[in-house]
Amino acid sequence: MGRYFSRPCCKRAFSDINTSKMVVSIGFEGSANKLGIGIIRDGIVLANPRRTFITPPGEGFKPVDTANHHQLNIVLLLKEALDEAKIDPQEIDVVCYTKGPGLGSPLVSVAVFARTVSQLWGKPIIGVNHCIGHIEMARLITGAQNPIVLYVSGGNTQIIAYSQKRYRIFGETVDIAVGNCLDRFARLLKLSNHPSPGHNIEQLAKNGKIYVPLPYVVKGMDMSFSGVLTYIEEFATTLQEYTVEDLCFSLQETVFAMLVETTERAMAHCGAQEVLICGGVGCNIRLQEMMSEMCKERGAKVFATDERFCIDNGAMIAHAGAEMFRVGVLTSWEDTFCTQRYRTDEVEVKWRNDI
Amino acid sequence: MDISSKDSLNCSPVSAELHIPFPSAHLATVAYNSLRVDKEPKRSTTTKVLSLEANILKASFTSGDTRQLRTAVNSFLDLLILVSKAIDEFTPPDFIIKECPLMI
Repeated sequence: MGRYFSRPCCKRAFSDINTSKMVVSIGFEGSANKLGIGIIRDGIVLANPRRTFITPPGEGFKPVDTANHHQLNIVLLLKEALDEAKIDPQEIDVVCYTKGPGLGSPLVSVAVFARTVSQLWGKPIIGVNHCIGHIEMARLITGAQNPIVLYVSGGNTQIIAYSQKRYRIFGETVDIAVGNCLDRFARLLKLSNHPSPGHNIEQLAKNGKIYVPLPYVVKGMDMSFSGVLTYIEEFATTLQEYTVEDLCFSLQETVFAMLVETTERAMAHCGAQEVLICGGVGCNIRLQEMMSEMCKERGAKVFATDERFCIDNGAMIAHAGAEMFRVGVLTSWEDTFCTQRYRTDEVEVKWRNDI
Repeated sequence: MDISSKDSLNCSPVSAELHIPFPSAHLATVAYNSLRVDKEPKRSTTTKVLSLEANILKASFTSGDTRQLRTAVNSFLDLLILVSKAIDEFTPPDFIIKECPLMI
């Protein structure tokens, strides 16, 4: 314990921190099955370790088991983050945690821990919207100026455009997220969940040869993915003539084409020349390829990050929280609760000055 | 899960009360603040009330259903254990709980 605290706690009010000082923030993320802690100093990631709760093939992760996993791993993960960053907790200016959206008990487990260290270290606490964490991290890493954002993960599928201090949801899934569709498809086929079901679908798809027509559902700016799953469940016997590789290939081509179509529509509406892909499904190289083909035709650019930042991680929460902290957006203690539904456009993006 | 009038475990509210002593009132306050923010899940009939008495954190639970009471108490204890681990590992040697700037 002694090695973490070389100086006594010093009380430092927010007004004492001048804007030229480099802000050190720590972020705690655990809204789904990934537990991540990230430490950032002035836009540089000092540490970003992560632990993933992986279930056996054919099983999804349930909230209570996931909460358990996070509770069991968070103390060691915090030590790992502090060691890797080589910082003393007293150097931290703000503690950030994921307020939502996500699964209830995992979110609360991480929030309770964050509230505790925030008090022990005497630092202010900020609740961060998970989606905004993804967007702001991707913007920081890629340098994209004002892109149409395709945010695609196991829990969310949204097409977002920034306008007048809000990340406006242009289009979204009307039922399940595209990542959820991929995960549940993997469960039907009993694919391994290590390192993630989506990763294994992507590898198998590379060897797919036959395209099996699957339900393609785009409704204007929105998409629907539950039909594809129902179709595969109902026609499991007739689909047995196709290999697992063909099915993975066909599923990817279908759902990714839906994403590309709706993204293109948003670009046309906004006159955007940039696309930023973020969220766990954004790791998928085939999706990035298909998006690039569409953008090339329009003379636009695609930006994406690698799995360190696409997949849920603590640094994205630390970064978004640091931006909020920089402009004076704090969270009152009573507001440090968690919420499973938290719309991206609920947050006022005070830290951006562009229109 | 049927709760019939013949179910002898569920004819009137059941309750549980926990008293958890901490090494100091400061640390008990840390635990109290961390644990009092979250409400019980909407579907639960259990109510949870936390209070502080010097260095003792008190938690009282009341529920219309025994199984839900068990779940609420277990979840609370899991989070309490988590808070204790955080306190054990990350409390600064000269820790005194801060005044109100944090509780804005």
